[in-house]
Amino acid sequence: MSIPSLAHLTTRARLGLTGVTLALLMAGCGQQAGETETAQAPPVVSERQEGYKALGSSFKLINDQLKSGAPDMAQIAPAAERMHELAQQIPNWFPAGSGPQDGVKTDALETVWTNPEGFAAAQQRLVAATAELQQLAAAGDATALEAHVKVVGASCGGCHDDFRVEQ
Amino acid sequence: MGSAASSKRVRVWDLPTRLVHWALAILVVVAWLTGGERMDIHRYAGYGILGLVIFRLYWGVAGGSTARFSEFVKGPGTVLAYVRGWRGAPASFGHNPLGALSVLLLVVLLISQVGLGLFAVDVDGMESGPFARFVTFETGRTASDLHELNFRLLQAAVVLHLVAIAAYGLFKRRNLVGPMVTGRDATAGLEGELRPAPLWRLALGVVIAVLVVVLIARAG
Repeated sequence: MSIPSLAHLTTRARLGLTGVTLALLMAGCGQQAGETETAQAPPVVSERQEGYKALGSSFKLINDQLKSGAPDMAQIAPAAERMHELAQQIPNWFPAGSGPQDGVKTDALETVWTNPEGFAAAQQRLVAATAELQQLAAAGDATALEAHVKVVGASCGGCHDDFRVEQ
Repeated sequence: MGSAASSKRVRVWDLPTRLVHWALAILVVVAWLTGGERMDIHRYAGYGILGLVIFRLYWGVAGGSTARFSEFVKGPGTVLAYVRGWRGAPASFGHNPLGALSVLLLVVLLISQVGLGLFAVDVDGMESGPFARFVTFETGRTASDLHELNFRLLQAAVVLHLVAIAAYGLFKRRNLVGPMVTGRDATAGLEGELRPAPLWRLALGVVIAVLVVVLIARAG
């Protein structure tokens, strides 16, 4: 390959990258401006994304503490409380018009809306599991907590299997 | 591969190099199949790969001659000349100049794969690598995404590795798999000699690799 053609390629590659960046930026804007019907969707989507990140973050904190060998209940208890609060908010995060079937870019599956009973049951499992998590944290029972985080984890995973795109 | 050639089978790869190679091949497949499914097994596979890579790096400076980076890693000029004359190039003793790049690529991808796995957190915040407690949930998630992406690169590198082995078999009638199993190469006209490393160097390498893996696993 001669040097001019290489240089040409490099310039093209750069232009390509700029194009991709621009396209990504525009796609980000387009979601809000482009589709009038789903104008409400993006705020709710980011709200639920933040909610699930907070759930994962709190659960990670609890698991990190339990794995440390000397779990600090003063840190675990508020994290468990937060998880329980967030679990109860989940039904507010999936209004009509915020699913992939509405053209929204989301990892939620359409089944959230087509199987509302199943989704509600899965959400209730998390509410129940986190309620017990909260009680065990308040009681300071590390051994019971270590067993119970598996139940909480299974309720996360079980719901993800049916209602979230596969990781 | 006539009977005359098979009577002159020269030692090319020492036992530690071969064991590390096949153990890596097995554990990468195990880690691939258990990732996201059986995280208990996946974690142990990762620790195993980490230990093997640490040992291989050590063996690359302290091992038998054909395992040493200084013996087989060549400059770009040599690699280019080898590629240009590939069809007619005489059989290399140990890694050829192009294959050396493949070794380096695989080692680098394995290091980044294990490194990212140490910090990775699953989507639920349930399963995590031993160093994940030093980072936030979101950083752990990013590490997990990159762990996935880097694995695609590793898969591509393994495919390239297998295609190259097939190409040597098809176009150059060279059996590369046999010597990696037996340590001996029957290719006619091979010039070179494996200078093996003393046993104490092997023992030291095993101790170093095990120690580092245990320390890292304990951090979690």
